[in-house]
Amino acid sequence: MDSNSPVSPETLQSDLALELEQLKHELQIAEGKIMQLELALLQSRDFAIGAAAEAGEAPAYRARYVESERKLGDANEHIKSHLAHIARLEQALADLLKFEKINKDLRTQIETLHNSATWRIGRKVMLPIRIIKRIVK
Amino acid sequence: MRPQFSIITPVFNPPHEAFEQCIKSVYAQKITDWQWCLVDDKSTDSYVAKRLKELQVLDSRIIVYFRSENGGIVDASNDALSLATGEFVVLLDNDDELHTDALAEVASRIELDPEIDYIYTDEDKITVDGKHYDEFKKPKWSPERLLAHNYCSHLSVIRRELVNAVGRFRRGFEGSQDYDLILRIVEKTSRIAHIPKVLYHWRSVPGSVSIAADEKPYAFISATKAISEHLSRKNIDAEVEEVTPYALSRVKRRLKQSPKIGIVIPTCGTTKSLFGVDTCLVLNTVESIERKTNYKNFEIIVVADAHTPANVLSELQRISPTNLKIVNYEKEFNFSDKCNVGVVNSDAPFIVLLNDDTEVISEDWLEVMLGYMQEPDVAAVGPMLLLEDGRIQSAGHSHTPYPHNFYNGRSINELGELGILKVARECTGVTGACMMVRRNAYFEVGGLSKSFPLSFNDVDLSFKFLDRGYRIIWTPFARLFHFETATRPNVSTPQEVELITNRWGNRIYNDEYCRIE
Repeated sequence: MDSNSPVSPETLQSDLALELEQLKHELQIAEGKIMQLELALLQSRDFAIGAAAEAGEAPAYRARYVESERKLGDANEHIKSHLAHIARLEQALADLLKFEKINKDLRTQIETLHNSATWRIGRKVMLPIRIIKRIVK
Repeated sequence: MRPQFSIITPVFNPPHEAFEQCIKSVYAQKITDWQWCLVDDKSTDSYVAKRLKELQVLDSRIIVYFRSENGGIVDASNDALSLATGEFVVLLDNDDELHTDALAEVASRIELDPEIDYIYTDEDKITVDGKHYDEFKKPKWSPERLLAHNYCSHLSVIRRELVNAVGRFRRGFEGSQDYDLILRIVEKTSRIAHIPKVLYHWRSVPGSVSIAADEKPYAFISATKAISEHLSRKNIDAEVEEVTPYALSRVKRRLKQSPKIGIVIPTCGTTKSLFGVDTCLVLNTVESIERKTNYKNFEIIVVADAHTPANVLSELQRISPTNLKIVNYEKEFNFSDKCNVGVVNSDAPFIVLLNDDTEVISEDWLEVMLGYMQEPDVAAVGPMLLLEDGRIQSAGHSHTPYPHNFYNGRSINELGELGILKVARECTGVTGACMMVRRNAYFEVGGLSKSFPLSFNDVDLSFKFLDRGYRIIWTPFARLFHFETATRPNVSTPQEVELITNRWGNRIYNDEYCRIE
């Protein structure tokens, strides 16, 4: 058909409707793309701000780290003095146990002595003297 | 160079013992080069004149003026200001006490930042026999809270030049003359600092406002007048209402415009038991919005997972035929991303991020939150959220001693420390279950971070806003139910805990807005 020949209104209307549909479709795609870009922008900004915040926190972390190191040092000192104290207590306990053993041995020796025939005879021999002593007192 | 302080004290028949303690506290200051300006407002108690004369004779730092007639606290205070020559004036009542370190601490703060114009500190109350109680751990500079009550109050130290520039104390504001002065001061400067230490002891004697705010009703009337005038000078169209019976104020802003609000609701169409009835949460939320909201210019963006039941989606369209837009979310669950998708699907300048396990209670919830948004430095506003049984779910975020919803599980009838549950105020954050955000600010900070798919995304967003210099407001005047964790368990991943600590750890452990444990 000759390009100069007149186009019927119906054809024109139909072409325009088609074009409109096409444009609507393209607009939808463009809107979708815009939303995707907006989402990407949000994510990118969040990443940048988050990274800056983490960097900003670093000095505080360093300060907390130094403080923790100091506390750890203090705690180690504390543990050391505790261990020394425990060692002293253990030594004292060992000494006590040693004394107790000596004590026990002595008590056994005394008991043996008290049960010996010599001791019993001696007590019987000494009995009148003890009675006289009490009367005199 | 150390600043020079002039202590300003109007005197009128103080209790003898309290006045002696007041004198003792000034003499106990670690800084000694102060000036004390005392004005006797024609006391009828002869002890006062005798004691003031003694002080004047004994100490050249003390200046005393005897008024020939009783003029009231405003005139006496202004006379005391006329005597002052120091760079800063220190307001001290004749029956209160300064902490020994008060002036030294303030001086150190000014030395750190010599441009400061106004400093306020924490305070406590003290009984007649010297017992301390009611320590008030104040927030950092909080202009919204100052509209509810004079939380700055004692100790206030103000640059003298500025006090003179704003016209000193004003007649007609008796009982709240210091509140009126502070409101006028903060209009002229933003160089305001808070010292989080108790440096002032407010004596609770009968008749003093320190015992009960309603002891001096005229003081509250003056306060209301002072707030109204302050708002009008700042071009804020609002009415001031009393929050009865607490003698606190509510500033009810009128909306200049009715911009569109986009309400973004992520959902997967879960059904749970609410009030004993199996309920589809998102249907309940949308239905409550449609039924109860007074504000008309809104749209609802429901971001629905792929497995959301089709009947839920069709029912949504039936409930909200004109305001609703459903956006399908096909990706793996990520709460932050779902919200972001919702936001980009709305062109509204203000967005409400709303969980699907919420229900509107206040009909004016959108107007109330939008009211605060009229101030361009407010990026987010959160309402009072209630649990199903009516207890508090969230009154904003608090990070003291760890991140949590403030007053969670407590009664709605509680006043909170110094009225904190009854006043709108700045805070470190508000929960993402219901948060109105300014679209521009949301985009500026990158929205909700996808790195927090489950928890802490609202904490992170709030800190991003604060980091950019925005304010976040929590208000008790908008209320919603939040049937907490009805949709998913309240858990956070170890990665989220690590990341939130790495990003904002130092701020989390130093919550300057909420210091109450």
